[in-house]
Amino acid sequence: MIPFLIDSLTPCLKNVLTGDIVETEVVRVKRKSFLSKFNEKTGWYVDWSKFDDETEIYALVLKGSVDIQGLIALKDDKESNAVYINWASTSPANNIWRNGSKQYEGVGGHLFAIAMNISEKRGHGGVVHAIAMDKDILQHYVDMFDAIVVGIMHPFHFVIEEESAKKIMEVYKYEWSDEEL
Amino acid sequence: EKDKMAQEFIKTVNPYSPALGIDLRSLAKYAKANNKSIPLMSDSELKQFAIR
Repeated sequence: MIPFLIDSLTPCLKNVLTGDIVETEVVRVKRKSFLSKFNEKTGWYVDWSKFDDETEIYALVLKGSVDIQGLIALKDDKESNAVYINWASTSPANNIWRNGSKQYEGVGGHLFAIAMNISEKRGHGGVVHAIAMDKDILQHYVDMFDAIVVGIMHPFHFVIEEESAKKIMEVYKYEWSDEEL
Repeated sequence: EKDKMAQEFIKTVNPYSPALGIDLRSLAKYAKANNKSIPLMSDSELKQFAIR
């Protein structure tokens, strides 16, 4: 489920307060003990340690740190020739719905780009599918990312086609870390 | 309001759970190229994209 809007198309994250541009890395997160810190009580909506072993979890961090700005859970959905975004969430500090403000702009778009990159690596052409939280968010992705409404799994089920995915992947820049958490 | 909606939405789905049996990559390409709505496609049209 996707519970956020895309605030900006920006290659790196932008500190809302200072305007500073910061570079990011993507880290695979496997340790359940580490993931258990990310849950409803700490502002991450779901308990990130409860996803099964088929689900891959990646963290968007500030370069050279483990300062997590967003998490994404996805599955290589070979049966659909796409990557399924099971869940994605910005960090509580970037959750404007809850705080009325956010630390960084660009987190949501980066999370999508990560999923598309994995899709491309797995031979699905960057295609991703997911469920939007509500009709407004679904329409937002249709307008922003050229998302196509599928409506099979859920009324707000959508897919982002490969040409659109390529354009999105060209915008967001980050490095892949060899480290695993 | 969106934050409350997100919390409510979680109660209606199993966040930890696709099995579509459909090649979404090809279907999306077809829908875009032909400007077609997937929800309005007929069963026979969708069957072209079934993964056997």
